[in-house]
Formats: sequence, C-alpha cells, structure tokens
Amino acid sequence: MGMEDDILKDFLAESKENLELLDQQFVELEEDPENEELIKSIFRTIHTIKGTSGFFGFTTLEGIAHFAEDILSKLRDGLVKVNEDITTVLLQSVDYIKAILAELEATGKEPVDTEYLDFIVDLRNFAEKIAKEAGVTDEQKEKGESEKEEASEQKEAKEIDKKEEENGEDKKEEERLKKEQDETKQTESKDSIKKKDDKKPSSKPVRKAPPTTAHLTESHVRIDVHLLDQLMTLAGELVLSRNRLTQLANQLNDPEFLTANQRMSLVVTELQERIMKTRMQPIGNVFNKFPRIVRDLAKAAEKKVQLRIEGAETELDRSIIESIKDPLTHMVRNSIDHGIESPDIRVQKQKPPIGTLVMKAYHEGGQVIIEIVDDGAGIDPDKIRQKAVEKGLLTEEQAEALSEREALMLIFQPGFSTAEKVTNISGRGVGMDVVKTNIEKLGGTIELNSEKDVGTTIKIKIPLTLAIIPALIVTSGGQRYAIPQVNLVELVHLNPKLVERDVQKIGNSEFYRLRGEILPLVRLRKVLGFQEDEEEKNSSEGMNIVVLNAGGHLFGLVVDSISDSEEIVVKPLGSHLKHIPIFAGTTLMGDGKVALILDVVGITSSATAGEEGMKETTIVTGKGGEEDHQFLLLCTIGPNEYFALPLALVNRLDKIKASDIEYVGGKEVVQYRGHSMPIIRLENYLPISPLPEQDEYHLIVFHMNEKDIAFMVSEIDDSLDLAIDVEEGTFKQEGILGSAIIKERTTLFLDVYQIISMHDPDFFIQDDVTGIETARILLAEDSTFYRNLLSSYLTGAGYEVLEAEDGAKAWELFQTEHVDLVITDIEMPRMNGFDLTRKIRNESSNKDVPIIAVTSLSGEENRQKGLEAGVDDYQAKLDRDQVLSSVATLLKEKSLANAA
Amino acid sequence: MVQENNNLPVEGEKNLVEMSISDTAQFVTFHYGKHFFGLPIDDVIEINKALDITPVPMAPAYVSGVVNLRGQILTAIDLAKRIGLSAKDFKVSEKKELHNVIMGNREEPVSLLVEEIGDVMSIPKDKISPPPDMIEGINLKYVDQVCKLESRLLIILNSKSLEQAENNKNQGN
Repeated sequence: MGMEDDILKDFLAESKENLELLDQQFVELEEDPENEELIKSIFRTIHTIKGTSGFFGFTTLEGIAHFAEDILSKLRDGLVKVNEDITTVLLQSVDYIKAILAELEATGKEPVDTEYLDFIVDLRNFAEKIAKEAGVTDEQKEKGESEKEEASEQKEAKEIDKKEEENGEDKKEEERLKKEQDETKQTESKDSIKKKDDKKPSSKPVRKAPPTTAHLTESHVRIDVHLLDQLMTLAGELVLSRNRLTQLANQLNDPEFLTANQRMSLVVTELQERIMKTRMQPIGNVFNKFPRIVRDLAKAAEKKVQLRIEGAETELDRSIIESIKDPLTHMVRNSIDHGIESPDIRVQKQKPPIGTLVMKAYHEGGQVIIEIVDDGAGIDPDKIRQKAVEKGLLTEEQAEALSEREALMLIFQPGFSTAEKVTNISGRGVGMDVVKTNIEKLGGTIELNSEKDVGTTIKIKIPLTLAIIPALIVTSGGQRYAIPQVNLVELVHLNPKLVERDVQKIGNSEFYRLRGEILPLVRLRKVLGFQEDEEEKNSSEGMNIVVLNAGGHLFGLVVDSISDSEEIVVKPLGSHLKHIPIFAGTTLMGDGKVALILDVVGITSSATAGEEGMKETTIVTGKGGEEDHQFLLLCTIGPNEYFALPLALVNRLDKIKASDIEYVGGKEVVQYRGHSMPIIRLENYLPISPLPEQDEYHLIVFHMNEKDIAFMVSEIDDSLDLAIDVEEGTFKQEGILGSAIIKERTTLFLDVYQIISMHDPDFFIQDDVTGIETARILLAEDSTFYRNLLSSYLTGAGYEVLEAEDGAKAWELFQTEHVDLVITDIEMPRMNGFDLTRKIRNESSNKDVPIIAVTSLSGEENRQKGLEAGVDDYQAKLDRDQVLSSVATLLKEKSLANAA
Repeated sequence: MVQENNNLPVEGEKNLVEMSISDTAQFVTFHYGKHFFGLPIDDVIEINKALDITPVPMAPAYVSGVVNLRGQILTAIDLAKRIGLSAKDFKVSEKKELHNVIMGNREEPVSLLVEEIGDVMSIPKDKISPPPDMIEGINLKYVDQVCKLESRLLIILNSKSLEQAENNKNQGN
C-alpha cells in the first residue's frame, strides 16, 4: 500500500507541475497555432495523466483526459486547426483535471459530483464533433492502427503467458489481477459516459467554471542540484562562522551572548543536517533499474533468475548513488553470466531451476554495505589459476602456490575475465578490476567470497557521503593536515625513552616494533619535503605515530602532533594541484583556514619512490603470497659475506667500540644496559671469512628467553620487505636456513635460534621445562624458509618435528604417524590450514590433539575463523617464545586431561 | 577569515561609466615589482586584500598555496613566479602581504597574487597593440597585448594561460 501511496504522490506532484505549464502552453498555442512541438508536448502531458489515472482507476479523471487527448490528437495530426472554441474546451478540461487532482490530494478519492460527469459528456460530444470535422478517412486509419496495436499486444500477452507457465504461479496471478483491473476499469468508464449521454445530449461547448477552485498546494519542487551544492558550501561556511563566534563568546564570557550563540549553534547544526539530507537518496533509485536488467540478461543467457531486492530505502549521497550504478551493473552481469547456471545444470546439481540473485543494502558503522549474493556455481579457484597462467599473469608455479583466497582475488587483476567464451553480456576484457578501481575511488572496499556450487557473495562497503567524512587532524611543519578516519588503525605516542628502545633506523628507513610486529615508519615531514631535525625532535618530545592502513599494508606516519578528530567537509583541489599524489583534497578548519587532506595510499607510494637511499632497494613483491612477506634485515661481515634475517626477531641494533669487548670465561661479552651480554662472532659457527678488525662493530641484539644475546657484524646494510623464497640446496647446513639472491648478491639466511644454541646449548633451556619425553609435532608449512625456521626452534626446544609442505601432505602424515600436536600455517596450496584442522577435528578420536595455527599476519578475522574451525591457539610464526610456551601449555593440558 | 574586501572593479566601473565608449576596453591593473599589468575586466571576478595562504607542499613552484574565499578553496598563483620574473626584477619586502585578484572561470577561479592593486583603466582599443618580441624577464606565453601609456608599458595578461594547469610538467621543487 505504501508503495502505491508513493506513486500517487509522485503522480500528483508531477501532474501539478505539468498542468501549470499547460496553461501557459495553451495560451502560446493560440498565438502560434501551427507549433507542432507545442501540441505534441501538451498531448504528452494529457496522455500521461490519462495513463496514470487509468492505472489508479480514477475513471472521471481518465474520462476527461481521454477525450481531451482525442481532440489533441486531431490537432497533432493536423486534421483540425486550433480555434478559440477548442482552446477554451481544452483549458476547461485542464481546470477540471486540476480540480480533481486537488480533491485527490485532499481526500485520496475522486469527487463524486455530477458536474464532472456532465462535463465529460459535453467534452465527448465536442470531441465527436471535432472528429467529424476531421473526416472519416482518418477514423479508419485510426481504427486500423488500434487494431494493429491490439494484435501486437495479444502477441506479447501470449509470450508472457508462455513464460508464466514456467515461471510459477505468483506472476500469473499478478497478470490476471491486472487484466481484471483493466476490464472493470474500461466498463466503468464506458458506463459512466453512457449514463450521462442519455441525460444531456448537448453538443455545444459549455463554458462553466469548475466546481471547486482549483487550488493545488505545492509540496514538491524541483531544484537544481548545483544550487543544493552551493547551499551545502554556504552551510559549511556558516558552521565555520559559528565556530569563530563561539570562540569569541567564550572569551567574552557574557552570559547573554553565550545563550544567544548557543541558540544559533543549534539552528546552524540543524540547518546543516537538513541540507545534507537534501543530497541523500534511497539506493532504491539504482536498485529499481535492476529487475529489468536482470530479466533481459537472464533471457539473453537462457537462464532463469529471480531477483530479490532488500533495503532499497537505505540512503546514500546522490553523487555516490550515481557512481555505483555501473559497478553494480557489471557485478550483476557477472553473476548472471558466470555465476548462475542454466536450469538443466541446476537441476543436475539438485538446486531449484530458478537461480536467486539478492541485492541487499544496509547501514553499518557509518558506512553503507551493498551485497550481491547469487546461488550459482561459485568461482572455481583452479579455473582462475589456469586462466591466470594462460593469460601470462602468473607462472605455473606461482599459480600453484596461491591459496584459494588469493586465487579469487585474481579476478580483480586487470585484463582478467573468466568467461569461457566471450559473450555479449560480459567477458569483454573490462572486468572486475574496473569495478574495484571505481569502488576504491569512492573510498570503498570490495570483498569476494565464493564457494563452489554454493554461490558467490560480493560485499561492497562505501561511505555514506563523500562530502563530509570523519578525519583525524594532525600537525606537521606548522600546518594542519586531515587524515580520513577510514584509514586510521590506531595512535601511538612514544616517550623519548621508548623511541630509543623500540624505533630502529636501518639505512634510510625506520621501523617501530608494534606488539611484536614490524611497522615501517614514514615521517610526514619528509614526505612533505620539509627539512628534518628529527634527532632533536625525538629526544625532546618523543614520537607521535599514526598507524594507518593503506590498502592492506600497515605503516606508521610520524607527525609532530595529533589534535582532534573532526567531521570535515571535503573540497577538491584545483587543477594545478590535483596531480600531487599525497593529497586527496582540502577542507576548512574551524578558524577558516584551509587544511589539506592526506591521501594515505599516495603517501606510501611516494615514500617508497621518493627516498634517495631506497632507490637501490628493489622491493621485491611476489605475485600473491602476501602472507609470506617479511621485513628482512641485511648485514655484512667483511666485504663479501651477505646475510639476512627476519627483522621481527631482532630486538635492537647497536654499535660498540672494539675496546668495550670483554672476555669472560673464554667468551666475549659486552656491558649492555647494566648486564653483561654475550656476543657471537658468526665465523665461529659458520664456514665464513672472519670478522675483520674494526674500531666499531654493529650489534644485532636479540631478546629471547628473557636474556639478551647479540651477533657482531661489520655493517648493517639495509632492510627490505620481501616475499621470501629461499633455496635450501646449496647452502643447507647448520645455522643456515637457505640462500636467496637479494640485490644481485647471494645472501645467506641465518638460523638465529640454531646459531645461538650452538654458542650456548643452555640458552633456551627454561627453568619450567615440563620434562615431557619428546613430544612429536606435525608441522605443516608451505614456505621452506618458515618451515626450517619453525622446525629449528622446535627441535632446539627438544621436540621431534614431522615436516609437511602443505595441508594434504600433513593430513597423510597425520593418518599414518603418531602425532602429539599439530602446528599449521593458514595459507597453503592444495589444502589450507582451516581445512586441515576441520579434517582432523572431524574424527572424534582426534578431538584432543592440540592444534596451533601460525601466521605471519595477525588478523582478527583469521583468528575467528581459526577458532571456528577448531584451532586451539593462534600465534605469529616468528614469535618463538610465544609459540613454544603455547606448545608447552597445550601439551601439559593434554597430558593432564589424559591422566584424569 | 575573509578580510574586508573592497570590490574595486565595481567601484571603478561606476566612475568610468560616463566615459566608457564602445571603442574602449576596461582593464583591472596591478603592480608587481617594476612591472605594470592589466587583466580584461571581464576576466576578473573580484579583488581581495590579503587572504590567509595555506602552503601546499610538493606543489608547482608558481603555486603559493590555497586560500579560502567564502568557503570556496582557490589555488593561489604567484604572478611573478608564474610568468618567470626573477627575484631581481622585483623586491617584495618579506612582511608585505600580496593581494588577491580572483580571476578565471566561475567554476574554478584562481587567485592571482600581486603586489599592489591599481585602478580600473579604460583604454581606447586603438592604443592596444600586440606584444613586442621580448619583454625582459617575462614569458610571453602569458602576455596577450600591451599598451604604451605615457610613462610606462601596461602588460595585458592572458588569463587563460595564467590559470591553465600544466599537467605534464608535474611537481616543482
């Protein structure tokens, strides 16, 4: 019912507007009777009113419009010339129509006054008279036309009928109802006309004023969008003036002034909200176009698809609504073309023959979520891998190594289309990559979930509005900058002592250890090209780090100070400044000054590209395999020996003078923070050239098992973010995990744990070691590097380790070997960690085997997923102490449980 | 905040209404260093005294920053740097604030920073001539025409090339 009310309201608003225009047009017409355009325009207006009133069943209105249209059609076809009589009658019709509309608006019903019926009769007779004047030939012509129309209508109806038979009942019923309505409506209007016909057979045009004064109240106005935008700007300015006034009021501290200002504040806020509201539109405006699109697409693809729309009333900023239409259309096309199967295949898969496509919109956390869900074939990761290889996007090995999730993400790569054959619907080379870029341009994100034969869900998150966004205001170099809150992860303030302890400077890059993870730091001053005086800054005030998320990568932005979080009005930069990648726009602050909005993604790219010292460091990013990225520390011993180790293991970097080294009990130590710390020369344990004599050595300090220990090297070289891909063959030996070519040099990966154990076999012995006789741990990990690393410290801690390079291999081993505990990576080819966990948990005898999932990323989502799959604990791969303590705890619990 | 703005073009227009004939053109004039410039009055939207300039790092060298004109944010272009005047051609004392000539199209106006605002001048069209082959220290791309006045040369600037963004030549230093 509500729907119909809305339509009625729209109809009334639109008709009113058109009728106002009609008055004017008729007058013009009298002056310029030959103006065809004018007649056509009038005809259209009346025709629309006729059509719509027919739909609502307003018979009187329809009658008047019908005969007025009749007369107009003669005018349009040039059969009759406009004269005063005709204009008068037509104007009268308009008056009557207005009167009826006014009544409709007031009561929702047509007036039941005989006067209207009388007028219809007069009008009809007049129309007939005109028709006669127009001549008989025309009537015949018209008849022929209408017959043709009828014929084609019937044809269509038949087609629809045919389809209905397949499509099920409800549509049929709808159609039937419509037909019934049509019929009753027709007979009714005929009846009413006939009745009046008998009564008053006069054919003269009657000049009678309509019964009620046709006074239509305006409730809708059309407004130029540009004007709304200007209002928005002015409202923003008003807010600023208000803020300034508030500051003054507070300074003056005059109670009367304060009250007045407070009142004004309220009004201004409200005004701003209302103006914002004028820009909001229900997403239904876009969704409503889809039933038709879906129908056409489904027909073309010979599929049966039922579309369900939810949350069409969800409101969004007008500009966003416009820009999501194309991406949505593309995704719907994809769903129908690639997702939903043809009916016979669906039946084979024991699914209902009609596929379901759901478009859903809702608000969540200040954002709008749009979901497109289909119950189709889902996306087959193997097919995507294959396709990627065919297209030359990946090598076979790379494709093989991708996890399912990574494979799915491939469809967002440029030039990727999975359609096996290119159809006219989709698969034209422009694909999901464009969709993704468009969504990201709006500040949104896109997620894809797909399960084979179950369906695909695409989830888009977009901001409510682009005009006003929450942002964090920071200062750097005396200027304020706004950072969009969507990118913000957390804020960290370090006092000078912590800066010294936890911030590492390697080459030209800086890192901060945030809860065990390595966070690259970017100094905003540097990005902005200001002079640096960082050393002083650090020592006096500490450091403010804004942790930001740039498309999945975290980094810390170092700023001078952090102010408040504010709602800011986004304004674009002028054409001279648009190209600067680090700015996304501008905004006005409370004091009327301009602040620039930072583009977080732009900053990361400019920070890596712009730094002089980094230019030699090619940041090797393997395709996919994000999981295995690590920050590596590169160091040298002598001129020719290059080493790498995971930066996450390192506690600090330091320098010592050669003279500070002491010898205690045949071992070298150094006074360090009040303790004597053992230092290790690598040449004692590895077959390498000895550390040359230097005045100063670099120390790589580790903090493990609550003790400090350090490696001594010649030089700390650099750090880089790398997808680790080590070869074990050539250099596999104790203390070395493998080798890789980094910056065109063969670099050895140090096995830190083993080297330390070689130096001091007791170093890792814990006081509370439980003394469980060697427990067997099954280790599933696809990366050779990590497998060796984990295996190394587990073995070092006294466990027996069974290694498997993926989930499937691990499952084989699990079935044949006795295993006390399982440690598994998440992302692995063939079978991932979650699937392995489920497989193990599926057998009731394995319920008590502890499973630890390890990852190089810590994500709440993964953690949640892991717990659901049946994982007991969740640890970071490189956090040796945590992993070991988790292993010990779980084994202890298990043995206790068994004993009980 | 927006400073008190004296709408010079309007005032000037009033004074000149009587004497303006169809063969004269009106120009908003201003000074920068030793040079005297003019812009056709139709290209100028308004004139403002000093507005607060927010510097934009990484911007082209001729862009001094952005200014807030009643809620609209405009790019502020330093005339001297834009047309290639070198420091020896003008000496602006450090403290002196530059004035804003708001010009260009109404969709995206820019603020042209000049040292001092002059009068609105009505100049007979026949006195206006194409620019000479060279004007010391000025890129002729930005000069439309010149007019020899009694005491000096009025350089009539081309507002289109002044406001045109150079997309290919990216950041200055």
